[in-house]
Order: sequence, then structure tokens, then C-alpha cells
Amino acid sequence: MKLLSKYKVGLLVGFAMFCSIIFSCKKILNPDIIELPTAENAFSSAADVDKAIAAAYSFLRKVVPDKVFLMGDVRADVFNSYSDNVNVRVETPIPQNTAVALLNNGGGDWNGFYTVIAQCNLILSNIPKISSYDGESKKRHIGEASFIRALTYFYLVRFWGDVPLNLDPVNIENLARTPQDEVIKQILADLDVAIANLSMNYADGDKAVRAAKGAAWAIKAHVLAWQHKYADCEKYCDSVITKGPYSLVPSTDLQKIFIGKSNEGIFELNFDVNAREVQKNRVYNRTLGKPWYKDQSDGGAGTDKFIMSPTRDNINIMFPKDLNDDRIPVWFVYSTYLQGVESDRVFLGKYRTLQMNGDTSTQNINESNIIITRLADIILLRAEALASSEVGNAAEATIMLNKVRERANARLYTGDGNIQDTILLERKKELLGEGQYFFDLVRTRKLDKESRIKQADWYETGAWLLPISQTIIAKSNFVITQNEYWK
Amino acid sequence: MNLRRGKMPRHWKRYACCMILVVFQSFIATAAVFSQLVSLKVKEAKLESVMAMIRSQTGYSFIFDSKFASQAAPVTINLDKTPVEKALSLIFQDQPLTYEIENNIVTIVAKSMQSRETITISGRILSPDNEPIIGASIMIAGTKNGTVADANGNFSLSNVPEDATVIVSSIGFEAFRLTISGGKISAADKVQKNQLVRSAAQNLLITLQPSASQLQEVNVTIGYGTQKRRETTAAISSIKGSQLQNRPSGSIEGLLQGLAPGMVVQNNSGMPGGRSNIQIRGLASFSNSANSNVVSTPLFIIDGIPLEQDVFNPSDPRQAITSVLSGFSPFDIESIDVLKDASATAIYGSRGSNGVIIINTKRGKVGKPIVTLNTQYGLTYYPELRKTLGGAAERKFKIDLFNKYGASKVGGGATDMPIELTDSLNSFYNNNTDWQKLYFRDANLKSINLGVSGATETASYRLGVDYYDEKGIVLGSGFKRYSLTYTGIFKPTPGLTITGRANLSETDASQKRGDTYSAAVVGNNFSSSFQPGPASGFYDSYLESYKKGVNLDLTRRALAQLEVSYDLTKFLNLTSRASGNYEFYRTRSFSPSGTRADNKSAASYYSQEKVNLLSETFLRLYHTFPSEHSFDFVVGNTINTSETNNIYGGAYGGPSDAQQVIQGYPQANLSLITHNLRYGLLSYYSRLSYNYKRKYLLQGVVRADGSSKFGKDNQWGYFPSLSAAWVFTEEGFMKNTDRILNFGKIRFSTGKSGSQYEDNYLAMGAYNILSGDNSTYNGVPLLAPNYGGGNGIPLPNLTWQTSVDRGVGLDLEFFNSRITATFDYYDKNTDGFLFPDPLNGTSGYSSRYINSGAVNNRGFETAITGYLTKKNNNFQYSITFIGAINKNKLTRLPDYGRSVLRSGYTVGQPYLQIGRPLNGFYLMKYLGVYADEASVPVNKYTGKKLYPNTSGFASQDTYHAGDIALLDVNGDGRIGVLDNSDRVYAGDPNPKFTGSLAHNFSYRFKNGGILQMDLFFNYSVGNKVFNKVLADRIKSVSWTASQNVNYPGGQRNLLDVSDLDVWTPEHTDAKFPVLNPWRYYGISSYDFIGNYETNTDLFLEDGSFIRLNYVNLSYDFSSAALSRYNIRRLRFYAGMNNVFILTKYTGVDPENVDDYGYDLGNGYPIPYKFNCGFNFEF
Repeated sequence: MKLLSKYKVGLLVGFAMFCSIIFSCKKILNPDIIELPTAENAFSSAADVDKAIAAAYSFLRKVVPDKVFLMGDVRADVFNSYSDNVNVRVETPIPQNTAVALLNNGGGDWNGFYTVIAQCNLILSNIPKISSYDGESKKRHIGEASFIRALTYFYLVRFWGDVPLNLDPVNIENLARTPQDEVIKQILADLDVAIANLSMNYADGDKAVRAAKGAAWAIKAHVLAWQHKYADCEKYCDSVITKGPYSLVPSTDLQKIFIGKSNEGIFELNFDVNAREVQKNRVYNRTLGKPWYKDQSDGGAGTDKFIMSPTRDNINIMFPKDLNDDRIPVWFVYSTYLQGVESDRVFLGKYRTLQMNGDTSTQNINESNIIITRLADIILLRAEALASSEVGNAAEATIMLNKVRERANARLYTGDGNIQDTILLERKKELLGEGQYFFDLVRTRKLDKESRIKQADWYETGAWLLPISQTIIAKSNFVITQNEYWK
Repeated sequence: MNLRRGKMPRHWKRYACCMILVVFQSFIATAAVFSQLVSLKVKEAKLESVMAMIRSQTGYSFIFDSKFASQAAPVTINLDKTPVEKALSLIFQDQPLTYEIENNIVTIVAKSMQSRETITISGRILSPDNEPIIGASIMIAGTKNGTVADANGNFSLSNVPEDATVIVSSIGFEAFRLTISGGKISAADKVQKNQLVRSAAQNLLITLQPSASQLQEVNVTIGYGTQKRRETTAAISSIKGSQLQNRPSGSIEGLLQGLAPGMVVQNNSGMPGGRSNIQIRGLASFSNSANSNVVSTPLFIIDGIPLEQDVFNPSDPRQAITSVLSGFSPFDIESIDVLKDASATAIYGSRGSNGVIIINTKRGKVGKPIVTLNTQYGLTYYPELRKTLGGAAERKFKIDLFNKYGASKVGGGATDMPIELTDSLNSFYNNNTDWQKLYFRDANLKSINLGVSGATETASYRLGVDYYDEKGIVLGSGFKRYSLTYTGIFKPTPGLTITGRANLSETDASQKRGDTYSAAVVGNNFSSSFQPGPASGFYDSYLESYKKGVNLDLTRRALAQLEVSYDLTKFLNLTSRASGNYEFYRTRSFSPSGTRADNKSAASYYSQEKVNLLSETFLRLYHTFPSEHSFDFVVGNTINTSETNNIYGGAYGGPSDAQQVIQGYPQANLSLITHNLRYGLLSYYSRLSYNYKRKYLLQGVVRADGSSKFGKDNQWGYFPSLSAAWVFTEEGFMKNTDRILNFGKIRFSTGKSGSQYEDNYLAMGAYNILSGDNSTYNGVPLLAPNYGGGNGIPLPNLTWQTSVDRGVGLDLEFFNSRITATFDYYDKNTDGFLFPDPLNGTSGYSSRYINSGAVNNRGFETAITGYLTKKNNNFQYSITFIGAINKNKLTRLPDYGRSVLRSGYTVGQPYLQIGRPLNGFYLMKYLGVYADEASVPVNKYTGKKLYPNTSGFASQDTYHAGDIALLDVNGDGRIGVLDNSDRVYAGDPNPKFTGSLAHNFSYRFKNGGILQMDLFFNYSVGNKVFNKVLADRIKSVSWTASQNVNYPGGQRNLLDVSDLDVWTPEHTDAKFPVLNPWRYYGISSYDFIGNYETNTDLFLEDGSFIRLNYVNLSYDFSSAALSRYNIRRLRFYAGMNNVFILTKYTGVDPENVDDYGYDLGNGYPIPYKFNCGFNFEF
């Protein structure tokens, strides 16, 4: 009956015990995770960092187009909606600069920008941990992440003034607002890192859509201009123009600027239908009507009367009727320029590169690149700097200004009218719908003259700043304070 | 540990070994088919080895005490094909020993013993499932001479006269009498002769039958061991397998309803094999997401293997619609123990806080092989459907509405009558088809279960084969189960027990999920009765999807277990167990082109493989000292790993409706996703049970759990519990009351247990890998933490939710246990729910998960059973009452206790509010109907009449006569129909008082046959139900939604609302607002007045009910008569399920509602079922 001796039983039991001990090692509690990357293993090579940087760009792509158009163009009263009955679009009251209008359009929400920043912080903190790195990529990655962070903080400063400064990948504390000067110091420091690390050129595919040295120069020039350091600004503009690989596209190819990756582009956000990088945002579904944009579900272009468009008066000021300007048929959909639709609406034509047979449910149809800065912008910025009282080189400024006019086959500036005002108007014309004009007005302190914000002390009181949403303030346990003007 | 490589194969080997051993064992156990002839040629051989040879040739077992070995003489013999009996007599001719044969067991005994005047008897006392009956008493009748069985059930009693009666008894068992006459031992009662398995004086084997009294169950499974019920200190309810049998249901889950106090089972779906919502001691699960964690599922343990039930989300087509228990047949279940308080569940640590349900499958019983056959046939009928109007009635109703209100459109203008109404002569529009009825059918069910079992003292086996097939009452639905259950126990040496178990099952459930994947079985999407019937060729896409759509839901499960248990010494046992649980789930669906809005056929395939491996080792030390101190100490370790792999492929726009697989679909319409999810749990536990004279009982448990799911700094948790009990009837001062109160125990317990969240990788800092649009930048894929989810930041502190409970219980037995009662009070605090905590936007992350939020459940439970007739009466009547009261209260929330709106639920928006029950209703308060214009209140500040804020637009129409009057809670002059500003707490969907009442009548005829009738009522009191069906019913005629009467071409089935008290200009004192299809605001067709919005308490009703759950009538043939044909048992039965329901609820069935208490009208209706069958055993 004794099939197994006691010895054998002991062995069996011993084996069972042994197994238990074997399995009770760390592996049980730390199984290999192959389902998704985690904080522990996400970064292991240069390629990972490259993808993380792509993610940073993509977060920028998510937040910038809407905000910059609404708060950069619409708020400057360049685009209006005529529709004033009860069912007005939420964007319509933005130029009135009321808290409700701004908040309803995301003007109080900075969270999207901080996601970009967190991603850059994460990249910068992980780069030193990667051992196998070739010097070129490492420099480029440090440069790009620094550039993106600088650009993002620059938007934050221009929108809200003092903003919390977060340089950690994970920081969930209640951060107070940092004075804008300090933030700008950080921006400049980041841009210097970017300038030092980025190279002038990348392979054609990355042209303009990923930051190169020229992009860092251009943004630094803008930051300096924002600080009214026009002399320095002028130098960086000059570097872009003379040392950079950029050239103005001929007037016949103007549309190509917005298709993207043109010779003129310095920095832009990539969209491309072939890579399914498409988006529905308020630049397109509010400025382009049928047949480009057909979605009726949001009351957008399905009903052309809700289109946001410059008023006819405004267009006539920018482009006087009797004067030639090659930009007109590109900047506007020409048929609507000739004959407006639905109470004289004119469709903005810059972003008409739309995927026509896009899906009908999400209407993710835009594939025009969103231009952050391009050569014409920097040429005009240089003109502005030269014409400023600090530099005072009106002659050179005129040359710069005329470079842009010449390209458009428009009438050249010959000293008629104030050069500073002319340059500002030229920026409005050239960069229409590219989210620049509101900042131009703030920078040149002409907001009260050209927009619906009329009080003389608008700059000192901070009327140009955006309000901060109550949710953000409450969440920070009131460590974050509201902008003075909006209290 | 440095053994990183090669660990997995090792792991696998172990389980492979386990499988092989299981198979090997089955050979041993079924070794009954040996020849009865012996061929043997030995010279001077040891008697032992000769016996071994005979055993190997014949399969006979030998009981040979080693003390006889020295006495045995060497054997020399030559046998050729000699019958066993003859062979043995030849072998024992010259031996100083003799033998006895009983059931192929040969017991060797000393010759001399037979001649003494008094004899010594020894042996073992077992329960039918082979468990020793510890402490059973063996007494010589009429004397004080007796003894008690030890921890293994062994006893030895000397000085027994050669002619005597010996009584073997134990609490909870029927006493058994032995007659000793001239040294020969037999059962005193012939009916009981099967209980005396072996009658040799020195190796008696006696099985005792449990007594009929329900509460006296002998042992309860407490996890890693069993305990005598009377010695437990915890709140445990036991359910006998027989209580679940002979009932027409595909799942065990649903049958548990009402059987244990404090366990609420809501059978909210009538779907064959469908899941039930089980809660033990109240709802203790929530998060801010509406569709997750709305139920607190207990942990199921099947024969020691934990089965984790996923939280069911009916709208997820990739989840099995059947429960993890659906592969088990009630006929293969021996008993179910429900562990309710922390003192019992703490042994399951981080998974036990929602209660533990331990299921024990049947084992082979000592004695001759038994074959049982249980069959069942049943008919199912669909219940009452919603009333609809058809044909002329529909036309009249609609035309009346046009005539009454068609011209009174608020925004001006009038709607023309559609051609369906005006063209009364067109035969295409003048039919009378009840489309609703076409989705239902009367169906049937059949099942057959075959069990083969047997056991000797050294081996036992049981094999169960089950087939169950139920067709559903909804077109295309049904459930099938094939299962095979095997248990083999093998004892090669006295101290060693090897147990192998296997369960293989396939369950096949198909469900039609309607035109969407939501729970909609049958929604509101029926065509108008005007349309010609389906026989005419009229195409109805919804019906078509029921008829031609494919939705397979198939689960295959294999459970295998090998357990080795070895008694190192008399009081020390080591048990090691390995088990594997493999689950394959597959769903394949196909929608023909005509059934989809885009007219493109769609196919999908999803399959999932889950492997759960478990290794357990525990050491048990137990002893009862002569001083009556008794202790039982267990210490052990468990390792559990789980891996899930799944793959999903889907596509639309296929080439042909005849092709249901994904091939040739356009590339752009394809999607493919795979997942791999792993999880590990490492635990150490220990339990000490101590009692003194079975009077003072004490138990302490501690378990440490480490789980891979949790944050790095918080992987380990400790779950202690302490309980004590006092059997006060054992005290001297209670002796006098013995005749009335024969047993009384008071229990106290406190302890802590936990429950884990489902997501394996929540704490790791998950990265978000996107697919689809914008998942690249300039063609480069994106790598970034999941900033938007709550899991992007590594959460090193994230851990389980913990419940701490305190309880006190009382177990009483009166009148010699004819009335038994259990009372329990508990107070359970569950804390640390998983909650997303919004973060500062400056972090870049939107939220992170934290453990926060607490809920309190407090309640009473009672179970009272009475055997009201005398024990020996032919007529027997017993009654069992089970009742439980639970009060559920949310006590803490994160974010300073601010109320939380739960998102994601389509109807209404549940709130979490401190002080209120979970899942409560938050609705606008219905005040009545404005009888006239003057009664509409005016806002004194704005001068404007009260208006419903139904959209974001600024100017809206005010309420008018006939509109619904709602309470303006915040007094802002408008009713927040779309927001939450005017909603208040309106009631609780969870019942306050639940339980059951069971009656059992039986009558024993003179011939021994027994007629039995069972009546089982279950009830639920105090739960509110939102009658959304009624709301929809009215809405479908009053709204300008697409199913409106005035929507030309979109004619839908018209529900009958004629019996409602509706406001009309002539009848202004009404309960329901005006039924005006054009009652919307003129400027925008989106602006409805909201008269029949589904967030007012106009539709909230009392959902209390009492249901006659089943009636069962059975007849057992007399065993005396059957024994002539070698049949042990034959029973015929017939029954009815869901007989009737008493309720004030105006809808069809207040139980057929979702977990939030909403009767959406699309749940699977609960059918009426009749069944009949027989149980046969030989």
C-alpha cells in the first residue's frame, strides 16, 4: 500500500515549497508590462525622444490654432460675424472684450499650453538619462524641446501676463504666478539653448514644421520686440533674413505658403491628410463656407451666415479697391471677394487646402499648415524694428516693407504716410488670419486705436490680458490670482 | 532573485505536471474494471506483497494493519485463474489471521479476536463527502461506556459485549445504530445499511447522514479549511446544492436570490445565462464614472480557486454577457458558503471586502458507485409587453392630436397631416401589425446532467457531465452549456491525500444587442402598425437586424487543480495546491448592410484568452488537548498570476452580406487592436482558531497581500480580523433551559478587508499611444504620458479600497433544533474608493487617481427556520424566513466633500452626495400641472414667467397652461431642465428590506414515497424605480423627435397612452402634462418645453414587490420499492418560475431595471417558466 515512501512525500512537499519560494520573487509583483509604455520604461533611446518631441509639437498643434486665431485675429476685430440675432455664434462677441465672451471661447483656459510645457520638461529631464545618443540628435532634441517650451511660454505671457513657471515634468503643486519679466528671462534662456543646439537645415520633410535655428532666431526677435528691445530684435531678424535658408515665394505661388513647408516658412504646425493629420478647428469652420466646409451640425458653414469674415470696410482699408495686390485672390476666396455671400461675407482663402472628401461625422478636414512665423513676418518685424525710435533707420525699414509689397506686386511705399503705421497696416494685410495682429497692436501700443478696446490706459490696466478662468483659480486654492482688470 | 530567465517555462511545467497527474489519477480511480480471477505463483513470499499482487490483478483493496505483519506466515502458493474468494481462502488457510470482504475491500483481522467475550471495535466516522466527523460520539446503548472520534474521525472502543447496540451520533447528523450480535456487526436499521461501509470490527467505516435541520450543517468552508458551523465566530451563510437544483435557470448566480440574509441578488435580466447583480451587505463601490463600479461584485471561490467577475458594462460588446459561474451546473454543486463579515473575508485580504462566495463541488461518496441522472424540460413564455395602439385606433389617436393641437404651434404655422393619416384608402398605410410582438417568441429549455461517483477509503471520484440548452424569449437569443466536472481524491498512504479537480465548460450565449451596442435588447424602435407586416416583404431594418444579425458570445473554460495534502504528524498538515484557470472568450458579430444606417455591412471579431495560475501552500497545526483547549492554526502563502491576451478586428463595408468574415473590406475601414494584460498577487496569511470546551471561541486572522496593480510604495496591505464567540448554552446556569433553548451563541467580530480596482496598470504612469486621426506629427508617432487620463502620473501611493467592519451576531436553536435562528448586526465602512482628483492645469495633467471617498453600510440580517411538525409525522412542514435591512450612506468625498456629478450615464445624471445613498436619484421635483395660464409663477425681479432653460439660447418660451409644474429650487426664475440647478435628491434605487420566505411541505405515504411541495417567495421593499418606459411612451407622442407622430415618413409604433390622466383644455386637473406634439418653442426646433423630460420625479415610483419566485412539486418513489430494481432514488418534479408578482409599480417588472434603478424598457424581459423532470440515482 505504501506507494510513496515518506521520503518521497517529503520530496514532493519540498518541491511544492520550493516552487512557492521561486514564484514569490519580485517578478510576481512587477510583471513585465508590454501593454503600454510606462513612466519607467518609456524613454530608452534617441528614437523615443524624437517621438516625444513629435508629441510636444502635436500638443502645440492641438492648442494653438483655435486660441491664436480667436485671441489674435478675432479679438483684434479683424474678423466679425454679422449674425446678431439670438442665435449668435459664441465667437462673435470676442472683440467686445467682455469676460463672458473671452471665457466662453476658452480665453481663460491655459491648461493646454501647460501640457506642452510638461512634455518639454519631461523630454529635457530624460535626455541626460539616455546613454546611447549620437551628438547630433542630442543637440537637436535639446534644441527643439527648449524651443517649444520657449514658444509656449511666450504665448502664455502674451495672453495672461504673469503666469506660473513650471520647469518640472511632474509638478502638481499650487504654483503662483511668476512676474512676466522672469518668465521672459526663462524664454530667452531657452531660446539661447535652442539657438546654440539647433542646426540651420533639416531634411526636406522636416522643413519648417520642426524648429531649426532660424525659428529660434525668429521667435527670439519677436520676444525682444515684445520687450521693445528693437535694436537686438533687428539683429535677430537680420540673421533670419541673411543667414537663414528662407526666401519669399513668388506671388504666383502664394497658396503654397499655407499648404506648408514652403521656402518662406520658418515655423509652422504640420497638417497633412495623407498622414491623417487633420483637424477641425475654428480657423476653418468659421472662415470657410461651402463648398469647402460642409458640416451643418454645429451651425457652421452649413449655414454661411455664421461665417466669420473681415467686414467689407475693413477689406477696403487693407486693400484699396483700385490698387492691384496679388494677395487678394489668395487671401480671399475670389468669388466671395467679388460678390459676398449672406450679407457680404468674404471667405478667408488662406486655409482652403481642405480635404474635400473628409469624413462627415467629425469633419476633421483641415490640412493647411498653421503658420507661426514666416519670412514675410520677420521682414516686416525688422522693418518695424528699424523704424522704431530706438533704431531709427527709416530708409532700411522702407526697403524691408517694399520687399513684401514688391512680392505681391502691390504699390511700393514711397514715404506717403507714417512709416510705423504703414508697417503695422502691412502686417495686418500680410498676416491676416495668422494670429498676429492683436499682438502687433499690443506691442506697438496701438490697441485703442485699431480695435474695440478703447480706453486710453488699456495697457496699464491690463485690458489686453485675458481673464483666468475661475476653475483654475479655485483649483489652485486661490494661489493664482485674477488679472487686475478682470477682478 | 537572480532567476530572471526560464521562470515562465518552470511555471508552466508545474502546471503541465498538474494536468498529467489529474489524468493519471482518473485512471487509478476508475480501476474498477479489473478481472475477478487471480493467477499467482509465489514461494515464501510476504503476505503483504501477495496482497499487493492480488490487488493489482483484481482491484480489490486490502486493509492490513502493520501490527499483523510480524504474525503473518510466509506464503507459498500456485494459482492459475482462480476466483478471488477462493484464492484468498487458500492463502489464509494457514495464517493466524482471517479476513472479511465487503465491497471489494478485504480487511485482515486477527483470528483470535473473534472468540473473546467482549470485543474492541475501531474505525472511522465520516460524513458522506468523506470528511471526518470530529468529535462524533460512539456509545454502547444503555451504558456509560463510550468514546469520541478524534481529529481524523478515528475511534477505538473496547469492552464491547458481543451482543450490544452501539449508537454513533454527532450534532447535525442523524444518529446511527449498530447491532453487534455474536461479534457480527450490522446496521440496526436496514434502511441505513448503506451507511455501514465496512463491518469488520477493527476497521469499521461508518458514514453519518446529515440531519434534515438546515442550520445544523456540519462544516462550513471558511477559506483554507473548514470549520464546524457551531464553532465559527464569523457571519457565514450556507446554501445547500439541493436548494439550487431542479430549477429552470442557466446560471447559479440568479438562483442564489433570497437564500442568504444580507446577500441581495437582483435578477435584472431575464436573459438565459445572463448575469445577476450580487451585493453582500450593501453597495460599496463607486467612482465618478457612471458606467463603472456601480455594483460591488463579491469574490467567487470555486474549490479554492478564485474566479474574478469583471464589472459588467452592458454597452461593451467585448464583455461576455454570461457570468464566470455560468459554466457550472447546479447539479455539480455540493454547497455554497457566503462569507459576509470581515472576520471571515479577511483571509482573502485585498479581494474580500465585497464578500466572498465559496462554492464547493460534489465529490464521490463512500460506498458503491452511484450514477445520477437529472433531466429537465421547460417552457418559457414572455411576460406582458408594453401596450400599443394599432390600426384604426392608432389612426384615430393621431388624427385627434392633429385636430386638437396641429394649428396651435407656438412658433406659428401648422403641420400638415402626413399621407399615412390622410390617405385612408391606401392599403400600404392601413395595416394592423403589432411589430413589438414580432421580436418575441415562446421558447423552451432542456437540460441533462449525469453524475458518476464512487469511493473507497483510499480513492474517490466523481464525474459530472452537463448539458443545458435554453432558447430565449427574444428572437435570436439563447444559452447553451456543455460542462464536464471531475474530482478525484486519492490517498496512497494514510497521511497523504492527493486531490485532482477539473472543470471544462463551454457556454454559448447569443444576444441581440439591438441596433447599438447598448443594453437595448428591444428598444422603442418598432415600426408603426400602419406598415404592412413582414410577410408582405416590407423591410424593417430593426427586425432584420434581429433576424439576420449575428452576435456570438462564446466562452470556453478549463479549470484544473491538483492538491497534495500530507499529515506530517498527527497534528500537523501541509497542503500545497496548484491550479490553472484558462478562459477563452470569443464574440463575433455581423450586421447585414440593410440593418445599418450607412447601408454597409459590418463584421467584427474579438477573442480573449485569460490564464490565471494559482499556487498555494499552507501548513495547519491543530490539536485538542485533554484539558479541552483546542486550537487550529493555519499559515500559508498564495501566488496568483494572471495574463490576458485579446485581439479585436472590425471592419465595415464588406463585399457581400453572405460573407461574415473580414476579408476584402476596404483598407481604410479596418481596425485591429491587441492587448496584453498581466497581474500578480502574492499573499501570506495566517489564522488561529482557539476554543475552550467549545464554549469560548476565539479567532484571529491576518493576511498580507502584495499586488502588482498598486503603486510602488504601497504594494503591500495588511488585513487583520478578530472575532470571538460565546456558546452561552454550554454554561452551567443554562442547563435548565436546555429543553427550550438547546443552543445559543453570541458572536462579535471586527476586521478589515479590501477590494482591488480592475485596471492593472493604473499606478504605473501610463503613456498614451494613439491611433487614428492626429496620431502622428509630421509622420512621427507620438510618445507622451496620458495627460488627459487619471493615470498619466506614476501613482506610487495608489492602493486598494479598504472596508472595516464590526458586527455582532446571535445563533439560537430552540426545541431540540427544530427552530433555528440567526441574527446579525453589522456596521461596515468602506473607504478609499478610486477617484480622479483634478489637478492644477499648470502640471500639464488633468487629473490623477487617488483613494478617497467612503461609504457606510449598516444593517440587520436574520434567518429563521422552523420545522413545525413533529419529527416522525408523515406530514412535514417547514418554513424559512430570511430578511435583511441595509442602510447605505455616502460619508466622505474628495475635494472637501463637494457633490460629484457622475458622468457617462445616458439617462439622468446620478450624483454623489454626502449623507445620501449611492446611486440615488436626483431629479426635478414634480409639483403638478399648470391648470391655467394664471397659475404659472412670475419671477418678481424680472417680471418674467417661469420658463424652462432647455438650451443655451438666451430667450425661451415660458410655461403655459397644461405644462408641467416643477419646483424652482434655486429660485432663479427658470427651471434648469438641462443643467442640475433644480434637481434634488428623490430616492434610493436600492431596497431597504429584502429577503425571502420559503415553505416546504412534504408527506410520506405508507409505501414510503414522499410528496413534496416547495413555495419560494422573495421580496424587496423600499426601492424606487424610475419608470422611463412610461416617460418614453409619452415622449414618443409628444416630442418632435424623430419618432413623433407628426414626423412624416418616420412613423413609429405608438404606445398606448389612452389610460393616462392627461391635461386637456377641457380637463385641467390632471396628473400628466398636455400631450401636444407641437409644444415646442418657435424659434428653434431644438427647443422643447421639456414637459416629459426624463429627469423629473413624475416618473419615480415605488418598486417594492413580493414575487412567488417558484413553486416546485415533486414525488420521490419509495426507496424500499426502488431497491428491488437496484435504484437508489427516483424523483419526478414539476415547477413554475416567476409565478406572480405583487407590486404597486405600474410598469411590467420592477426587478427588470438597470443598476441605477431605471426601467429603460430595453432590458431583457423576465419570462415565465414551467419545468418538469426527474432525478434518478442508482
